[in-house]
Amino acid sequence: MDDTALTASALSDGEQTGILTLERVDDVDEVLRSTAFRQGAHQGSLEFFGGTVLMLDGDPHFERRRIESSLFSRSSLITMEHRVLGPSIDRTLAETQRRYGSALFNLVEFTRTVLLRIAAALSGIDSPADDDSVERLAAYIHDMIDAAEADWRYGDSAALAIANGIQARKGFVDEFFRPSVERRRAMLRAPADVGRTAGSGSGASDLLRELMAAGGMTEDAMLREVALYIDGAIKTTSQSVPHAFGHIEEWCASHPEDAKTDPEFLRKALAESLRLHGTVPSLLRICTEDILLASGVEIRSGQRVSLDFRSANLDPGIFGADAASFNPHRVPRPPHKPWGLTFGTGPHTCIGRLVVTGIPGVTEGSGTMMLRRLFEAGARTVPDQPPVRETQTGHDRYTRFAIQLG
Amino acid sequence: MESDRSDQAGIRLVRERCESAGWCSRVAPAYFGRDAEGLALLLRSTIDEADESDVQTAADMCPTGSIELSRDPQRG
Repeated sequence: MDDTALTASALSDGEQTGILTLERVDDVDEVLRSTAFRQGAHQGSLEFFGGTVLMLDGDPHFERRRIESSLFSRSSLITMEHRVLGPSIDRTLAETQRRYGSALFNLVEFTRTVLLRIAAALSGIDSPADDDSVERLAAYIHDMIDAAEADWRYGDSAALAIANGIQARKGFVDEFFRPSVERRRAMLRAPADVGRTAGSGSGASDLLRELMAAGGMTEDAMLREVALYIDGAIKTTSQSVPHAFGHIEEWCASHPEDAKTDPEFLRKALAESLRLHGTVPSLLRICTEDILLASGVEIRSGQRVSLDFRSANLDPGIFGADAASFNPHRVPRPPHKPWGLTFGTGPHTCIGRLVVTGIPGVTEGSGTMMLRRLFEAGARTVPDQPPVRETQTGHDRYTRFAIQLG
Repeated sequence: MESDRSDQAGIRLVRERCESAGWCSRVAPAYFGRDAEGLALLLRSTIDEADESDVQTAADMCPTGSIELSRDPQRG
């Protein structure tokens, strides 16, 4: 039975006893770290993410993370930042300056363009050279990401998004995925790869290559994993950078002692913005054994538990009475992190977190680097072009965030 | 929380970054344990040659960058 069937059968065995919602950050944190729960979210997007590292638990989850771990080694992160992220930002900025000059452009689209190149490099999707093909890749990915958010879409938009996503995925497979698989199949047959094992930490691999070297996955299973990585690489940061940009600009207008181009200030500001504007409003877990949380909450086996990240990240007991306000110098009560629970904790901590936040003293992080380069280029909002919020999902994000360069 | 560090370098564990993923103690149990709260503990910091691959995997699997490896045992 492949991993997709494993995930589906595990979900159907869970008792549906109503949903218990947890809002206190300590309760949510404890559930995330506990081995007494299994994944229960993303049921609307099983078509896309079933059987992926996101949905697995126990030993299969461990094995999948082990295979993929070399992609996030220290040397891989350094390589990615220097060889992919930096050049991608430079190229996208240059293209933006050529195309728009000092006119307005959409920061949401800008970040998605930057991140598309990172997503492709990380996942092993060979990027085309011509602009038309790049646009088609971006369009396929846009629809696939929309479909993957079915759990949080309002009304009829979920069914339409899934239908569009399935259609887009067909084009993505034919034009980009399958050729990338074939190239890697040829690379792995080449003499240099004889004896090479997966997870060698070489710092110069990609997801497809690692999965194929490890073996044991169908092409469909690898496609889902690639789709997950692309979704993760693009969605989080393209959502968080515009929020952070707006907060930083407003904060620095009244705090001239903080410099918009100081990487350490930006790292803290991005973390605070991530706390306020997490990537998903909530996630579901299913309890697998009776448990008593440290707070006294009793949870029975089979109980579905909704982890309210939005409320947890605003917990005044951890983040202070002004938790709903932006303060880049906020120090949460230890051991809680400045970004709250936005990246999760425990075994399912976001595998790509360090790509976004960086490692202090080692890498800058995709969000921080993008913000610094934009502010260095004189980027700013204009008063008569306020941001436009997304209205079709429960996500806290913009569809348009207009800025201009200096 | 303070970092765990030995004068004989090899592994440095930055405990304040740990978020209880638990992979290190599973992959390299001779080097990493867990305390009562599930946070990582450094059990030994010098790496035997036969264990280098497992310790590297433990470091790679850590989603918070809490494990730093030094390849030169003469460096602190």
